[in-house]
Amino acid sequence: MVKTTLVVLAALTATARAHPPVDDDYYEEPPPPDDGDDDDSPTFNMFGFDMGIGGMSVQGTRMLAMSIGLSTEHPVFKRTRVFGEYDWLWLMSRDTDAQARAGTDVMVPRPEDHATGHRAGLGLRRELKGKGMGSARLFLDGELGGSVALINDNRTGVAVVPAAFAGVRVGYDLYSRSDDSPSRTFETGISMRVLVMPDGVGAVFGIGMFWGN
Amino acid sequence: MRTLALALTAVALSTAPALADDDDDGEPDYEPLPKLSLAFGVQGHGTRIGGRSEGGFGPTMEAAYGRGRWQYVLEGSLATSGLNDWTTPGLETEITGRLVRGSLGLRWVARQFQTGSSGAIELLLLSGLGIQHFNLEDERTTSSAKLTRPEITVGFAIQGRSFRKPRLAFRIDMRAAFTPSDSESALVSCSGKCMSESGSSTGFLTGIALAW
Repeated sequence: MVKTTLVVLAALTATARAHPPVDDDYYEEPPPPDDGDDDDSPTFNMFGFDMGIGGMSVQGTRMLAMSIGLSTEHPVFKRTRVFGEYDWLWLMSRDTDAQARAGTDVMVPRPEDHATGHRAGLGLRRELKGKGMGSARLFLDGELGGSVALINDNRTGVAVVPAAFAGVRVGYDLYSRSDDSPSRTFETGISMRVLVMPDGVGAVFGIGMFWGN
Repeated sequence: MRTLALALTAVALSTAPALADDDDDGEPDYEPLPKLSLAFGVQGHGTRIGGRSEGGFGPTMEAAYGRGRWQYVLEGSLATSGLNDWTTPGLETEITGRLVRGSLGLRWVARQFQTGSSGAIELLLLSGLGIQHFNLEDERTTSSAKLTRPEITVGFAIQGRSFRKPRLAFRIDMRAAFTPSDSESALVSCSGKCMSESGSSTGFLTGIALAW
């Protein structure tokens, strides 16, 4: 009896192996394991502006740089975007005499020595941490990229300044409740970047606002 | 001139990504700008005269005609004007005066984020062609000078706008301003310390305004 039972069980197993079960229309895939992040946030092509202030090193001179510009982004992966940006730059050099008189290490610009310029940049932006809250989402992103600036200094002439940069951006996205809204999301963020240039290292603090379609 | 041409090229390039999806096929409708609107605000500016920094602020007003996503703007402003060094306290500014400026401009709604049906947060791209007129006085020598020069402005603005009556809008704008070099015509302003400038002199305009 035992032998017969074992033979029947072995035969059933063999049949099952030869014919895997057909798909059941009512079968549901188990949900993926929850890693704590909100993966349901949509991705958009973004377009907006940014403003920045920081320090740059141009031909060996440390300069205060202020910028306004436009930026566009395209999602290449779920959490990674490629971005391109253009900035108009105003630059002023450091007045070391005024700093000495004031007894401060804080950079004091010398407005009579000035420069303007264009800067074009390309980079990748990757979400490090995000949290959705209804129609809003907080994020912390990392940035990596490069830029080239064409700078016209009133004393030293034209200079081309390439730079590599890395930084972080923190902010929030708002999602529109209106289906007819031309832009489905509005993003506000602040950023901090470290620039590495041939003549030195600089940093830029910025604020930006972007619209996503 | 080269800088002005570069600036115009930059504006054209910067609007290209936004223009790329500006067709009517399948695109959601943008809430059009009001046909007629008036705006009042405060504007700050920073420019260069004879190679020296000049800045000030004052009231501004504008009248605009809207057509779809475009707005044609007539703008005028009156502002204080002072030339000094970075380290000079404001009360010790020795060359002071006023700036009167007017411009004709274009404004375009590049992006519109609608917050329900009642309003939107908008990205505007701006450009303008105008005139700056300075009346400056040097308190040390009691000499005075007038300076008139053209300007080209390009920039952007963020605007919160209500679609419902009374249809108010609040706007913050930031513009780069390009003017020709003017060291010869503004020697009084720099008292012999004019720096040589080449190409154009660049500055900025920024302001807040309430529009109706």
